[in-house]
Amino acid sequence: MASGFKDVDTVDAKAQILAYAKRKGALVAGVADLEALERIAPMGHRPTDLMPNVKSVISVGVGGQTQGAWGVSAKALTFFGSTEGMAYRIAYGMAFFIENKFRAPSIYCPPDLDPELGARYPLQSVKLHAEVAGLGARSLAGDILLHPEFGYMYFGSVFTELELEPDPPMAENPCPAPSCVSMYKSVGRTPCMKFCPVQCLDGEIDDDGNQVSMDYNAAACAEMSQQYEAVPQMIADAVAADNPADRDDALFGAAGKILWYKMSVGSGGLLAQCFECMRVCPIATKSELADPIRRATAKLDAEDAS
Amino acid sequence: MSKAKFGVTNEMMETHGQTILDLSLNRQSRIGDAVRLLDFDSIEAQRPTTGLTDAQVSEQLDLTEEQVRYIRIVMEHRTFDPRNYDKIYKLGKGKRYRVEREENQ
Repeated sequence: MASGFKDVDTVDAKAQILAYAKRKGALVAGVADLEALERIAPMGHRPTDLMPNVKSVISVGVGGQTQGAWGVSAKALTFFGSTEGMAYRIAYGMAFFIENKFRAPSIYCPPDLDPELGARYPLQSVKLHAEVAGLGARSLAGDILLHPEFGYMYFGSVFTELELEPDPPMAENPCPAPSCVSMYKSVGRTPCMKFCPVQCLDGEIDDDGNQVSMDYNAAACAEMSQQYEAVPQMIADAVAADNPADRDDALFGAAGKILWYKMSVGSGGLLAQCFECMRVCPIATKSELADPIRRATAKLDAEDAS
Repeated sequence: MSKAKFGVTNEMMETHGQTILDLSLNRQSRIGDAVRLLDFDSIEAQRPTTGLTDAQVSEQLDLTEEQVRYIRIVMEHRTFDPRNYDKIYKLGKGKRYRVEREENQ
């Protein structure tokens, strides 16, 4: 039984695949240069390490939270601030779409941690896929990718044996924004650096307003954004307690109880919890199409103009 | 225990712990915008500061990949301060973190 996918018109197939992503809610989609990914990603984390016959890596990006979300308390935002689930759903469906439409073996690329490497190394970097596909550029905020129109996004990836023409990375990097350059010239820091609760960001901007360097203490960031790492520590504290009061504190204090709650309800509140660098980022919060209100307004304006 | 299985000693932990943490993805420093520009020479030159895998770290130290991995994961746990998370509860609704506020406490 022939698969037949080698006879597919790949130009038309790419158009259909990217259209699928947009139809399902992606704001951007593109194809990353596989050869570049293979050179940049370290051994064990290259696309071919996951799928030996992969020929194309497709990246999809969805928008961040609503405009209203930026104004709520940080503790509320921990539960709903990230929108990666939508990107994953689109990528998951896209793999099925490609197999159904073009009969080319495809997979949803798991954005998860490598189970052999502990709590901080992913199987693949979907961020790298997105950057090479031209969906975002590295910011001073710990290399979070930013888009000049859509701001802060979440990404998902699909691997396929269908060979598609790659897209180039972004021609320009929108970070730092002009207001951030002004602040840097004034106080030596950008908003993301200044307002980080664990001071995990640093960097340098040149006289022309371009990034010179970026320094990121990911271990400190993890204390704010990877609370799942606190779970075994809480249990260890309880086991090590040498009196019932300390054991009760470890297991039944507010901090311990909320961890059990988050685990029991499968809450997303155990990871990607801190948004303080993005909350003060003008690209993330004020780009032309950064949130549903801005996108709806732009759409109405375009309709009025036509 | 994997510590004994991999031949990790307390001396290894003491000698290499912080170095392994600094060479790993836990600390990332980059110059310029090499990946976006597909500047492969710059990408290669910067690997020691942009975050290495355990295998890459083991090539720089007299340790096996498994020893590096064990030490890294223990160091990630030991340096993780869950109390920092409480800072979240005081932020938002117009209130931002300020380091000077913390220094004054």
